[in-house]
Amino acid sequence: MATPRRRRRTIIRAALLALVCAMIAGLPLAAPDAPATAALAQPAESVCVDTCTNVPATAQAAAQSLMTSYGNGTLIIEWAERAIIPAEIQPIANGTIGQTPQCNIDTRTLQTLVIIIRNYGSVQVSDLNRHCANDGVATCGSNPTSRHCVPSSGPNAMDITYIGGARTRGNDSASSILLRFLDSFLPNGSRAGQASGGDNCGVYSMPGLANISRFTDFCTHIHVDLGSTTAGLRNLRTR
Amino acid sequence: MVSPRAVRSALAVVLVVVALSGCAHAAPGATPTVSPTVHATATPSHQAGSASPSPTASPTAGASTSEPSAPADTAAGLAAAVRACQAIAGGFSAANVSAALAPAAEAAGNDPAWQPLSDDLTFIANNPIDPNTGEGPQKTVDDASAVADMCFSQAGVQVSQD
Repeated sequence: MATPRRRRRTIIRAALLALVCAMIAGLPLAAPDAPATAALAQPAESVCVDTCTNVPATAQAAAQSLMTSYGNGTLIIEWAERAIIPAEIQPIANGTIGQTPQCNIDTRTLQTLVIIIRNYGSVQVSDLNRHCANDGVATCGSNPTSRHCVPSSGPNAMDITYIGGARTRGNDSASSILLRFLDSFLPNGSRAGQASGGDNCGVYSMPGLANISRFTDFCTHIHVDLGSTTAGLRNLRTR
Repeated sequence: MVSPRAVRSALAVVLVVVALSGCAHAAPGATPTVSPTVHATATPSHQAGSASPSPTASPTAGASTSEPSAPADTAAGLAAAVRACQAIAGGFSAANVSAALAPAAEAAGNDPAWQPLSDDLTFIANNPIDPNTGEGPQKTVDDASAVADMCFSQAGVQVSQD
């Protein structure tokens, strides 16, 4: 028969084992973003503070910053939508977008891309203004009410496929990291297109957000737009 | 016999385990969506209409133009609404919206809960966005979002807003 001391030791060992098991089992839930964080190219802010400081105030200045990023490889445009640079961002940077106003982009969208590049090191974009750059499938003819096509003064939607080297499909931890960060400065009423959980998109988690609502989308990218709000980006500061 | 001290120690460890487990499950990344319109477990498009909530639960239902005394045929209404939503699944092109009008009207005729779907699609058809310039009423864009939400949450059909 076991001695009291041996019983006590057994109980303590069992409790410690249970503790270790619980910690191991709980770890993935407690830190679901760890793999994406590891994949990101640089340490990133989870709330926009430094990266929201001295953001270019005008569309032209933001577009010029994006042209610099494009030149050094930190703004990557997918091949099918490669006209984004010559037809959209370059004319805004040059101040000649007035000649092709249907190719304009909302200032806040340009600023958001600048901030994303600052925070994660790079961004890959697959769609901005579809009037002037599209893949021939997702066009303003096929869906004229898309925020890639409205308003006529400058659509505000962006489709993002990578941040800092981490793939963003809208159903993954990198998308969750990005959405939480965007939620810290996008205006209330912004929207994200995320996978519905169908169409072989698998199981995914969605962070609770205060300023971004969701609609269902396919899991090839994370779609972000500013909805119908005309409010500026929040928490921008100058130093 | 187990000493009281051993029992207390074991209880303390168990409490720590329970607390840690609770913290893990409450982590922000694992929190379910607070989206007002979309639920992660909602019916995907390939199961259109098969397991969606009853259309009579529509939060936007109202302003019925059908006979007030006619009983709603929820099954027929849902079936027609699914057809309407499938017609615009790829987006709100003029052709898609045009094809959705008749089944949406049929859905509303069978069940007044689908009247907003029919009304919104009719407005979009009559007030389209110019696909070349993006010009058009803001209400058309907002109605398209409302239709897409209704199709997904109540008919189980995913309609593109991208």
